[in-house]
Amino acid sequence: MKTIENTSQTPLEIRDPSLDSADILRRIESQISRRRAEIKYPAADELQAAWLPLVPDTTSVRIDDDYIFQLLKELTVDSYLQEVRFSSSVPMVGWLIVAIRRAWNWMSTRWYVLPALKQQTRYNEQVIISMYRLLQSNLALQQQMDELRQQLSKLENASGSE
Amino acid sequence: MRVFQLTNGMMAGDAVSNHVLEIDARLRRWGYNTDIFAEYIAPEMETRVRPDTECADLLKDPNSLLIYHLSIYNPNYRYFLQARGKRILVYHNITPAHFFHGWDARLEMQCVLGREALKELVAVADLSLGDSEYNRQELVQAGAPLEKTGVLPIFLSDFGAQPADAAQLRQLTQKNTTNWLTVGRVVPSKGIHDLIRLFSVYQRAINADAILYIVGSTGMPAYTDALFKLTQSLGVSDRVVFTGRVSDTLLTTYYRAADLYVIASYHEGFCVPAVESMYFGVPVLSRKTTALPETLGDAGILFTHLGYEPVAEMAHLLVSDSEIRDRVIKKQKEQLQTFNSARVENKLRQFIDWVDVR
Repeated sequence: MKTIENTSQTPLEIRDPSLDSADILRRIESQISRRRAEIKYPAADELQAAWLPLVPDTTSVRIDDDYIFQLLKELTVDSYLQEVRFSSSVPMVGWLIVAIRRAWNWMSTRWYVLPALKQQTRYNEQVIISMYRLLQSNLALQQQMDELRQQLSKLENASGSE
Repeated sequence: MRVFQLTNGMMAGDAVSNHVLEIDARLRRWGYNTDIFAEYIAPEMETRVRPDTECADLLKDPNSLLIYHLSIYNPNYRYFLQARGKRILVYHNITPAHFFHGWDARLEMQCVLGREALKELVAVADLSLGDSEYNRQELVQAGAPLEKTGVLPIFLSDFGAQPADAAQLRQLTQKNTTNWLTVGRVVPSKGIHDLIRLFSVYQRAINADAILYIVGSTGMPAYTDALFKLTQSLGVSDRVVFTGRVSDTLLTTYYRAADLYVIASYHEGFCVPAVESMYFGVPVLSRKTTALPETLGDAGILFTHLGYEPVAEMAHLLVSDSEIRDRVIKKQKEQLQTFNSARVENKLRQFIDWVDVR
């Protein structure tokens, strides 16, 4: 059974100089020995076994397709729709044109266009996320196929040498 | 000079939102015209915050200053790239995407994109600030020139402003249970699965009358479901309480009722709850990782890896040995001075002046 033999093995780090860290670690070690003798602690295997099956299998999925990833990144930036802002280079009355257009824009944008823009942005986001998920599954399948190919090749070599 | 702040979302009780409001209050006091913009605006913020789409025109002014807060990917970061005035980036850290792999594709991708955006942002920023030295180093790694970086801790001035809910506090403390607490989003990077396993060792071997309160939003169903199953298989499902997101009053109540604050997180850019625990006099037992040793300083107790037995025994000492407990709390109170509002305010003033005169 593994025990804490010395302080360098302990995971604990006590940085406060007002605390007697050596004494604290000794007390902890003594408690551990006592409780282990009484078989109080759950086994480390049990703790590990309780969590591992719940973790999603991600061993064969990695974001390594640079091209598609770059594409998704660009799509994400473009997915965000913005309202158009008006400006005018017409001398003298340019400000009036801009003011009228802005007033109209404010009315229509705030109450009608902006909600539609937000809805479209959300939609675009969902499409991109779906594509990203598909990319992940594709990479996972690719990885699995590579592994199966390797296994097949090993089996073929083994049967050939018999 | 007009100063604008732009962020992902503004809502009550959120650390970044609070930071934005605190910065805004100081800028106004110093005579600046200010505005706050965000993509998501909670109803309680509608009178104070404007939609991010309204900032585009204002940012054409070369005499403006834009402060952009990056904590998660948001396409509105493009406004920062387009702004013609001075630009300060405030980086609150983005969790590395791999923590969410297999659990939540949306969040995973947002984190990847957020870190990609970071590289673009630091390239154009006049000044890039992290809210910890750890975050500042990440800014440098992302390409920020060293001389254009700094540390601006989060403003924490509203701590304790909310009184505890007396009835709820009585209910939490009257049973004489030992209350473990952790606060934050229930996501894999917070190591809640490790915390539950550590707690199960403590509860089963050391103190049967213990309860673990996990306070924070459970917005990742796959992970939360896995945690429920974990509590069942370890036989602690009736000893682990997931509260979900709570009001500021209830949050204060949980801190007041806590005997121990445990951080099993794998990644923290600052960790506001650690500072809150120090404020409320709750001893902190924390994983030694990322910004946590910096936030805690010499206070609290750290663990470098999850040796269940020694860490659980240390938790027991922090709860049961009044001398150790009192010393740890005293040291934590000293460390709290690092985040004194006046100090943070001075730093903010220096950074604004530095950008203003250039």
